[in-house]
This record gives sequence, C-alpha cells and structure tokens, in this order.
Amino acid sequence: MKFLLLSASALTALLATGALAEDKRQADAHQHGHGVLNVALEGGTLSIEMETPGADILGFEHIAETEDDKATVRQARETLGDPVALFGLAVAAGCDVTESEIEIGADEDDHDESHADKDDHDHEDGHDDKDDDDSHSEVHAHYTLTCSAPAKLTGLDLGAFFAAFPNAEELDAALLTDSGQAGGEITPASPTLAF
Amino acid sequence: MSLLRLAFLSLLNRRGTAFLTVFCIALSVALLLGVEKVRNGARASFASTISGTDLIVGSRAGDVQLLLYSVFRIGDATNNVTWESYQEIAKRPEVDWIVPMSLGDSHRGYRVVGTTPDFFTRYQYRKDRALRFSSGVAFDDLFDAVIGADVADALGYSVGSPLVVAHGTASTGSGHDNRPFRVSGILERTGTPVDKAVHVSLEAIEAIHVDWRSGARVEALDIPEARVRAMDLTPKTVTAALVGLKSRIQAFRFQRYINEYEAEPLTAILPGVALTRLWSLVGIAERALSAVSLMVVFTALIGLVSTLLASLQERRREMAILRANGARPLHIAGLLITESGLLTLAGAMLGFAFVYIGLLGLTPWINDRYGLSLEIDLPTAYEWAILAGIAGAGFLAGIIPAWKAYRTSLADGMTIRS
Repeated sequence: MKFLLLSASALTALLATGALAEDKRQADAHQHGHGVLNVALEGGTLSIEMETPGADILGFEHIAETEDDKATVRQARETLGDPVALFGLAVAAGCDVTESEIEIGADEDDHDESHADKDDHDHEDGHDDKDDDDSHSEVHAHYTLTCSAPAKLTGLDLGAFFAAFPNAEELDAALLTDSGQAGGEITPASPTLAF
Repeated sequence: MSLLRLAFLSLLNRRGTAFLTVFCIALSVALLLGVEKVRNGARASFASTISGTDLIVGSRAGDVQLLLYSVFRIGDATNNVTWESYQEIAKRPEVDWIVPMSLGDSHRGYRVVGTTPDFFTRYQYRKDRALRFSSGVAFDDLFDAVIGADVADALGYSVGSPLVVAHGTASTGSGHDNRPFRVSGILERTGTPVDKAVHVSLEAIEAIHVDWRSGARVEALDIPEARVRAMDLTPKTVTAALVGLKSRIQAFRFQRYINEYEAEPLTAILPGVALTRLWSLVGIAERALSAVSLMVVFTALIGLVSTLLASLQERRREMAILRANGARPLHIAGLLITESGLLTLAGAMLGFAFVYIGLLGLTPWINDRYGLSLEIDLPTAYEWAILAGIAGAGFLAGIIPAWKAYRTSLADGMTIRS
C-alpha cells in the first residue's frame, strides 16, 4: 500500500515536471452526455458556440465509414445547420445566420481538428472502450447571427435539440447579455434558459 | 342567504377565535413569503457580487476556486501570474481595461489587496453600481491605503489613521512595521468582500517586501523609506486580474486564448457564470429555509382545522337552527368548507400585507446594513402561486370539519342530546 502511495506521488511529480517541460501536454475533459453551450448577445449580434462529445450528437465517435454512419453525419449536419429552430430562438427577433461553422469529428472529410486531441477518458459508465480506433471525437458548432429585433430574444429553448439528439443529457450553458453573465444547466427536463 | 354571507356572519359571531386563526395563518404566510424574498435577495446580491468584469484571469485553477480567492478572498492562489504574462494579456487588442490584484498580505485579519487606482472605477457590483468613497480619496502615495467600510468600522479608522501591514494572512503575522501606511480613503458599504479589504498600490506590496528575505525581516537590510521610494518597484507577479473586453462577443474566444496560453498555465473565468455555479453549491441552505417555512404554514393549517373541529361541538345548536330553516346536511358541510377557505384567504392576504409593509419600512436599512438587495416588486408568479396554493389548502383543510359536521347534522337532526 505504502509503495503504491509512494509510486503514485512519484508519478504525480513526474507528470508535474512533464507539464513544465518544453513540450506541453494537455488533455481536454470529455464526458459523454455533457456538452458546453456558450451564448453571447451584444446589440444585434448573437454568438452561439456549442461543443459536445460526438456520441451525444451521432451516437458514435469513430470515423463514419458505413453508409448508415455517413447518413447519420449528414442528418446531424443538416439539423445543426438551423440554429434558430435548434435553440428555440424567438422568430420575432428576426435572427439570420451570418456565419456558421460545424465541425464533426467523426466525419471523414472533416476530422482534421478533433482527432488531434488526446481526450481524457471519462466515460459515465466507467469503462474505457480501448478498442475504439483511437480517440474520442467531438462536435463543434459555432454560429454568428444578426438579429433585427434582439429585444424579442427572451431565452433559449432546447426542446428541439434534445428531441433531435436523444443521447445528449446536459449542456452547461454560459450566457452573456446586457443584464450580465449567467450560467445554468440545460437538460431535457428543463430545456429553457432565460436571457 | 348565500353560503358565503352565512359563513361570513357566522365567523363574525365568533370573531375572537376567527381573528386569532387568521392572525396565525397570516404570520406563517408572512414567514414563508419573507423567507422567499430574502432568499431571492440573497441570490441576487450574491450573483452580483462582481459585475461589469468580463473575465478574471489567474493561474491554472478550477473556476470556483479562482473566484473564491480573487473575489471572496477565501483560500489562496496556488500560483501567481508572472508580470510578463500580465503585460502580454494587457496588450491584447480585445482588452479594454485590466486591473491587477496582488494578494497574500493582511492587516489585523483583513486581507490586503495590491491593485491600481483603476480598481475603484472598474469594480462594479449589483449590475452597475460603482465603488464610492464615503470619505477621502483613492491611494496616490506609495504608502496610502484605501479601506473597506467593515475595516473602518471594526478598527475605528478614519482618513489619516496609520496602519501596519502584516506578512502573510494570519492576524498575528509578523508586521511590516517599518513601513507604516496611512488611510487615504474609506469606501462606502457595498455588501461585497470589498468591505473587508485594505487596498494599496501594487508597488506598495513590492515596497513592503524589499527588505524581507526568505520570509523573515533581515535587520541589516533595513532600507530607509527614501531609498525604497527611489527603487524600481515594478511587481514580478500578480495574483489575478480583472479584465474588461471591448466586446462581450469576444469573451469566449478570449477565455479560450487564456486557457490555452502557451507560456504559462493560466485560467480565465466568467465571474457571473462561476457565481451561479457557486450558488448552486451554497444554495442548498436556501432550500432548507423554504422547507422550514412551508412546514410552518402546514402547522398553521392544522391549527385552523383543530379550531374548526373544536368549535363544532358548541355550534351544534347553530347547525340545528340552519337545518330547521331548510338547510340540508350538504349545505352545512359547504358552510364549513367556505368558512375554512375564507379564514385562510384572509390570513394569506394579511400575511402578504405584513411582508410588503415590512419591506417598505425595512428595505433601505437592510440594504445598507447587510448589502442584501431586496426588491419591492409586485408579487411574482411564484408568489401568486403560493397565495393560491395556501387558499386552496385552506378549502381542502375545511373538508375534515365539514365531513364531521355533515355526519353530526345527519345524526342530530333537530334534537340535541348532550
């Protein structure tokens, strides 16, 4: 036991010096079911960023090779392409997407970014699927919208999001508006967040 | 004669007990509502402990930890931020303003914060309230200090009072007594941790440490004040920095830039988001308070039922007269339910009145004394729901005596055998 403790602390020390060494090592957290949603509103500009594990959106994280998988990726890309519906933005606010960027790590044509990441194995079910070809992949979506009546934006409603992606369990939201900063968890049980 | 009028007149006849029952319910409702108001006020003032700041930058840490030591001055930083990184961040085009904070020293148990005069204009709380001086001005000289309202009250300081900064944060830390400071200004009470802080310039933090080596003062290095003033007092590190951006749209990208900063492991947090996260930890206590006040309302309702039940015995004659006048047993039951409902409704409304009158009278004082931002608003949807729920519960509670009265009035008929 003592030996184990000692070697554990030696390992920590080793890791600590490793972190200080020239080549930096860093691992992002990756927890299935849990994503991040960042929303900022200033004037008529609304910026929305979403990062989730690939499994939440697609149900898998390997490179899509079969036709079924590819169809799933296409479908997800299409659903993610309409942020107004996906995030339940008030239609009266007149928001138009001026910029959007959707990266799906499991997409063959588009996996340059997320496969470079070494992700932290933090599965909720507790086991690491090591036979998974190499690592986790993520889905990133970034939108910039221009709204003609931003005062009509009262909040987000992710009912459509959770309906479209049943594997998603929770989005950790950060909200920056004129009324200040706010945070909250958006879940299928409480899919709304007021601005 | 309608049931409502009958119930009202019957209650009027027993106004003593009725008044006590209403008063009891009113008190419990006032408690429930008062707790609700205080709870919301506490959450609101907690969530706006710091506002107007887009990001707080510190060394690599969890967001709650960084918030705790930089804003609440609880715990300590694991590392500081080097002056080079601070300068690089300050020069970024996205940055509108940046205010450094250097922590780690104390004055008689109150934390000393090394910062720049910008702190007093940039630090905001409760949406957009700025810090104000109740007397004096911001620090100007190397050995000037600006103290929070609590510090001034507790230590009895006024502008011009001398104070000695201790090394470390224990209240009996070894003093930097060769470098006495002077109070240049006292801040108005804010209800935030600023009240409990002593603010000095960044250079002053350097100055009080120039003749310290390895944590102990070296007498031989006792450098005269004039020489300290002439020294280069550019800090080597800061503990954290408040950052304001030109556009909040850039906040997430800038946060990522800081978090992935190559030269040094740093963390940037969105203070408002971290505050809501922290509140979800401490917020369990507020739910406990609500639960207790709900139980008080429940107790008051039980009191109501037992009063009505107790009165049934002495009201058998009243019931009999009603029956003789053609009232059916169901009418008797309805009368009791109406009575119970009326009592509760009156109690609930009186309770609302208590709370609002209390708020009107006490809010300025509570705001000033405790920094709790209580809002005198029209009742929220939730509060209306509470009112409706309690009135509904009153009608439901009436069912028990009503059922008993229904049974007795059936059995008793016109003859009362006692």
